Amino acid sequence: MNPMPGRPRGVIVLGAAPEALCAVRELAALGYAVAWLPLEEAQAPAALPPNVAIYPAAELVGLGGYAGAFCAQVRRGEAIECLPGAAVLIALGNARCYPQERYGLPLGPRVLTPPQARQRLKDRTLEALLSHRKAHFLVMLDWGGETSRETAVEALHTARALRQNHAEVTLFYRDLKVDSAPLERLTRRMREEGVVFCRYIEVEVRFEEGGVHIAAPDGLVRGDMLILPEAVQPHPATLPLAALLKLRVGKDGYFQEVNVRQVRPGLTNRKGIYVAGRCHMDADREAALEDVSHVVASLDAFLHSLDEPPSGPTAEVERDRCIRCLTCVRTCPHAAAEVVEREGITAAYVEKAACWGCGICAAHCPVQAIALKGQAVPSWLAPTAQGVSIR
Amino acid sequence: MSMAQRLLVLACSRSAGEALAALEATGQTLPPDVTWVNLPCGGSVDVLHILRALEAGAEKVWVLACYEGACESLEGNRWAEKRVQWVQALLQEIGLGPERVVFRAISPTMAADLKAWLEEE
Ligand code: SF4
Ligand code: SF4
Repeated sequence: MNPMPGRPRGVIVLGAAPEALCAVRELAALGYAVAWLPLEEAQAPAALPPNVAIYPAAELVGLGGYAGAFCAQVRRGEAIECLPGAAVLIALGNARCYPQERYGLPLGPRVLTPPQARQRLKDRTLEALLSHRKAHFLVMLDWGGETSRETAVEALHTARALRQNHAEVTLFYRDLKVDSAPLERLTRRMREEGVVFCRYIEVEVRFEEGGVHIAAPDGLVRGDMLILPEAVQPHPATLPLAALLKLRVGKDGYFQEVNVRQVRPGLTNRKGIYVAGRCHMDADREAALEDVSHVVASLDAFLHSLDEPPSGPTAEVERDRCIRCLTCVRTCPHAAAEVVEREGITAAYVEKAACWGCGICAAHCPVQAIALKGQAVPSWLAPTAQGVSIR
Repeated sequence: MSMAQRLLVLACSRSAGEALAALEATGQTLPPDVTWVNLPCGGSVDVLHILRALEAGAEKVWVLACYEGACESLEGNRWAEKRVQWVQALLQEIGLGPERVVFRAISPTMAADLKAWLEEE
């Protein structure tokens, strides 16, 4: 139920990535009251819709409540303030680094990252090289391992910008997936404009008097400067935030989405908490923003579903039989079980709104104190109440 | 309950349950000596469910759950498989055939495979 009848539901947005701003705008346009916590130093955008409140310096210390009625606990000065929200959307983005170990090459006067090259184009420090008619840039993707989608696309844009500044550009790649219309357009234009694409399996890079030499299958390519894309890695706030919000992180260190049937984009292991953009996927900017739209739609559908009567089984604890072993708290993959004091009894309690009805807790409880309400199992099959667990 | 059943299926409703629904949508029905029990997730299969089924007279018990990485409750399928292994070890120990309990991974789109498995059995 809407906790504040007659007033729009709130959504809490966490993160400062461009995806977060995009999500804030889309949610505000849908009429939600948005509480936006960038969680890091970020430039506040000039104009935000009136139903968005931004808390720039706020530190998140916890998340109380459950799906439909969360409360972001925020430290502001001495006080802890509670910001309500029916759902949470996380858009931290990712972090960048120059993978020197992978390339075995330090950055230097002849080795630049794409952002560095763009910066030099902008402040005109490449001029000396570019006025030289044959200035030749070698852009190398997938060297020592697959380049991430985001930085590969950035390198393509950089290659194009250099070419448009009349440099010769050769782009080496091993595995370039041109799997979207914008990327197809970009690479086609680049070819038309004269960027040379060169596929390789193995290459050898040497620095010689006055240049970079690349021994590729088609022969030796000599250039003036090597452009090596950066690598992406999980945003440093991913793990601490995951721990605070009891969210799963995959082996790759990014937030893990639970969207097995492809119908709930961005849903995490907790009901009502969603992740969007590059904090859970490798994507270029366009794809990341497209993901935000999918996730906002999925979050919107969830908020609408709160108006419907709940369906499906949920776990219910027979609280006076609970021995407070915390097994259900540990094994519930959806952070729906906790041990709390209620009505004078300290025992396990499952918040219906947070429960997925998977029954994992019930199968684990050593005293069979948990039953799945709304799930009919033939009575002869039930692990009967009198039975002693044999595990 | 006295049950002279050939096969009892403990099924994750999210995968096996969907596969069965797809099979039934094509007008097919389960053989009469097969009992099918939908559970919300493979993770809710209890060791006791399996043992009760054997106690009630099922010749064989199948536990059907999602493939690795496809469980909506993240590790429900792994719990299901572990419990099957536990019961198999127990059956081995007491001299009953461990092959009476089987774990199988399935996805919602595997109606045809499900049909083939049922026919083979
Ligand atoms: S697993 Fe059972 S006994 Fe243990 S805390 Fe949960 S409900 Fe209580
Ligand atoms: S059924 Fe139990 S384990 Fe599953 S989500 Fe609910 S409380 Fe958690």
